[in-house]
Amino acid sequence: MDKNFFYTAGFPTALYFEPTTPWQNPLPPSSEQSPDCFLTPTWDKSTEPFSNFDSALSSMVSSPGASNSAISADGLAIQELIGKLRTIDNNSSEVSTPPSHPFMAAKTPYLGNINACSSVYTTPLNSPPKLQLPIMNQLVKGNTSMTPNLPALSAADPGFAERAAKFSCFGSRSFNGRTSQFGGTSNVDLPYRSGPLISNGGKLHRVLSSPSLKVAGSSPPVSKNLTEMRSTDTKMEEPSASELNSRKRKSVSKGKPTLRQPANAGKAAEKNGEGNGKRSKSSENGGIKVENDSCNMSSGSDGGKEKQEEAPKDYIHVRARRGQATDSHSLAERVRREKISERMKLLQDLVPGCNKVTGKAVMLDEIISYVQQLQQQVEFLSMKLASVNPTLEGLFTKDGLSSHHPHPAAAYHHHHHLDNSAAAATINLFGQQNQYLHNNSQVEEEANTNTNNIDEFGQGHLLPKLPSFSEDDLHSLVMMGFGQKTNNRTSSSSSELKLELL
Amino acid sequence: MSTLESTPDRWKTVSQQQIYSMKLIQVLRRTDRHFTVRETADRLLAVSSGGRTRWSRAILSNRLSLNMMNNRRRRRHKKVRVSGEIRMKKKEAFDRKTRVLGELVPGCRKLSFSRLIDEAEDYIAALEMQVRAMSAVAGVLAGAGAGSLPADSDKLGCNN
Repeated sequence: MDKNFFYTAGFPTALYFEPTTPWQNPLPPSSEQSPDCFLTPTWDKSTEPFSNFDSALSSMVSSPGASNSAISADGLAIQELIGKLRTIDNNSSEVSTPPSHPFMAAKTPYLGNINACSSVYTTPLNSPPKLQLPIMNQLVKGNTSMTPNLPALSAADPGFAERAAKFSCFGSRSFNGRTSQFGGTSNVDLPYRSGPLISNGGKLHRVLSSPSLKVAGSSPPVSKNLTEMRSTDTKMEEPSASELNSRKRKSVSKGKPTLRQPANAGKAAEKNGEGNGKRSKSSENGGIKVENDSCNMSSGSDGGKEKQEEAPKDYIHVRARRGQATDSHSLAERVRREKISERMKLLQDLVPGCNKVTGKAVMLDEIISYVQQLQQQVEFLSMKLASVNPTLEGLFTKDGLSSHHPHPAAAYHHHHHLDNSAAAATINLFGQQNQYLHNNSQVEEEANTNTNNIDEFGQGHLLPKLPSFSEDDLHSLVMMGFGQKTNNRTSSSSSELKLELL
Repeated sequence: MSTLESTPDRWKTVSQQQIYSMKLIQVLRRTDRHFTVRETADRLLAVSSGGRTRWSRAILSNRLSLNMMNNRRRRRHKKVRVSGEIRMKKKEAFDRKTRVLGELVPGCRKLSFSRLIDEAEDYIAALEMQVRAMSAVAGVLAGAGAGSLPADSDKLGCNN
């Protein structure tokens, strides 16, 4: 969406991001879009006044010399800004001149040099310390209320403040939007982010200042559009203030990526809506503080895809940290994630073919397919057993067993004789040891000879053919084995077969 | 050994498999069964689990008969369409897969991911054991039905 804004809304990305090629690269391939709710309302409102500036800026970039003509075409908006600021503070004379020459001087190199921008940006701040530094300090320290800053800014430099505010907020928004796209990138980019942002702000300032100065010369204070200008200005002022502070920019930018990449979609959407709502209100106190808060809150609640959590409402001191969580939420999330990764590793051992797979989603796929496969196998085997079952039923013997057991014959006519037959079967099943091999062969012979009567005597005749066990022993064995659910888990040997059943 | 019983490794022992096979044969020979073979096998597996795991309890609770499971699976999935982000989509896919896994493992629909993984781990181990045991039993019984009783030691797939 930021991309769309940049390209479709006419916002000249070339203008703002030429010196910031590292930003441009992530932009095109990334399909990450900031939530519409987050940006659209503000963008829609801000696009209009800025469309004028877009063409102005582009023209400024292309031909600095032709700025006059281009600017004059859009001079109305600029004039409005200037006029508004002037009406707020009548110290126009004081502020109009000082910042002019730094901006004018650095205009051309500004576009091509970030450092120049930064320096240019800072110089006007430093040069008239009496007005601008306090302003900057105010802006830096906190945007609790931008209204007092606004006259202060205007006092310092109406054109500068206005345009800086407008473009910086514009740039900041765009910047923040962009950061979401490559928010996945580490905080290494943050210096770039803040840098170019400042440069953008500087650019903006410069671009704005030049036409404003020209316009100032003509000096038509336009008061008719004061109100709308004011509304836009407030929005701009705050981000511009943030822009002036690189750290604050970082915080905002950090906040925004985290805001856009929430672990919890619902929360993020909610926070975005909050931020949008507040921004759209164009409250003078809103702006960055709200953004920061929402970003901070969302980042706090975020599972921490970005390691950029900030302390809420403390966006001044926030620094991009790599892999550092600053609040309990992210810590808890990290613990949870580590637990999960642990368990996924265990599952990797369990599920065949998962050793090379990384990532939860693919692992989940493998696990799901494996579970389904196992369940299908069980289903198939159960069907097979069901088909065998009628023969199973018939395997019980009456005569063979009853003759050999002192137990009541009835017991063996019923399913209890299953125990012995089961025991025999299990002995056959588990006859892994030599001791029973000959028994098995004998049993097989017996079974073969009794093919006709396999239904009735197949199992029963097995019993007498096991010399190593008496039927009583077998029976007791089996009963004990069946009676107990928990058996020792020692691996079986033939001599220990009894113990296993126990 | 309580530690072994609480881990999925308990399903790997041969003794466990043998016990399961024996019990399965025993239960399958009853004529008064109310459940299908599959269900009895699952219930037996759940019993062998000792009630420690959620899936075993879910199997044994009668609400989890096979038919009910099939009906439940046809419930509608709410479609959450979130515009734009890769991460949103990844999270969606992840949630979808988690839900699928929760449906596969009995009784683990609304479970946290870590718990679900635990349950799935134990369930997978138990399923493997079940497959081994049932294949052995099926082989034996089929053999018995056909009149031969092959030594099934190799069919047991001793994993120890």
